[in-house]
Amino acid sequence: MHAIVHTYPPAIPQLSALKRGIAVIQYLKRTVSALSHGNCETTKHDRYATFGHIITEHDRLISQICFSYSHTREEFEDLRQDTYINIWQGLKHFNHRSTIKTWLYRVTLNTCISSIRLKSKRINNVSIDELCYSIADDDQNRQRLLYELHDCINMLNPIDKAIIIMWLDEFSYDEISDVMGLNRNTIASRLKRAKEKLIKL
Amino acid sequence: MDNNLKDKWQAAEYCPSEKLNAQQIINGQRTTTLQKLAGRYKFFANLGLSLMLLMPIDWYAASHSSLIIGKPVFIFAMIFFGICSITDFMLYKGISRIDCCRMTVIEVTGKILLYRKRHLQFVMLFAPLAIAFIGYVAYSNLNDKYFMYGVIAGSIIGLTIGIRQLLQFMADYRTIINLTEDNDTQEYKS
Repeated sequence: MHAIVHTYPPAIPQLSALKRGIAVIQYLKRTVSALSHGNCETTKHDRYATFGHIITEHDRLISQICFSYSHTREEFEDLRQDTYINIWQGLKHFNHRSTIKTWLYRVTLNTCISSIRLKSKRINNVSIDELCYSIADDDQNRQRLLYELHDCINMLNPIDKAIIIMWLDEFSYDEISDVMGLNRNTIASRLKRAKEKLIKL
Repeated sequence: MDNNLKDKWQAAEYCPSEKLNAQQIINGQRTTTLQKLAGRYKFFANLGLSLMLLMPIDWYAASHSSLIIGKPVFIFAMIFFGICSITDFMLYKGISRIDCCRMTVIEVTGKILLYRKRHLQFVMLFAPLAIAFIGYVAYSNLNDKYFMYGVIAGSIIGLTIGIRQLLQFMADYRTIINLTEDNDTQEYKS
């Protein structure tokens, strides 16, 4: 990169206008290529590291969201797979403006919503058992309550479901607003309505 | 109540049921459902275009055979396949532009519902046209026994699949209409 800058100027005065133009274009191409090549190497290295980190540290979060949007085991596995593909493809553009957790929520929720199957219906409890969800303290009652909570959340529409999931994971209204693309007041009112629906269910 | 719900949610531990094949993802050997869907629309856009371009050859072949198919039928077919190709291309472009990593949830929802609705509307528009087209061609060739056998067999198979698809289609359309009544997604649908 440094060498290109220093060897370029002396050759220019000896060239015709057309050749000079071509030389400038070639120079710019080389510079852009050198810069992007350098960036790619760094980005690729970072991407591998971040992707590995996401798989080990955030799989529970991703799986839980995918589960909330799926009706069958196959659908769940497809959503999880799709989410990881989108995460890998999106990592090169991830600019760290938000936290990795918030960004993961955005990607996972968008992937799940864009893959919603309208016709399938959840097979109650069977699919949950198949997915090997377990409760930390082996309390049967809490396990049953969790199944019920999942079923209730699944009855909400996709937007309310996304809001309630983020709220359950302790996100602030501003973070929810950023991921959802709705203003704070709308989030608050929708959350209130969603909670009321959950209580009724 | 709120804390109780949050506790329940956060207490869930997930035990992976299937190991993720990260290497295939990194190598780009896997595609998402949305990418597959876009690919399908692209395929049908190309198919429609090919069929449209094939129509003059078909017309030439038909004019040298015993089939009685008038020139207007081929012109109609060309327009039909051309419009099919354009609509599929529009859906392909629209779906390809959905970026799950940068768009907000509301934007993605709005676009998904819009393209699903458009797809169903295009089906609603083209299915009767296709039936009318086949009917007209069959009517023009009532005297050709074997041609009619083909049309009857095709119609029976088509009706069997079509009725099933129509019921599913109506159910999907109703669901989409219910979802699109949500005010927050309205502004992203155009």
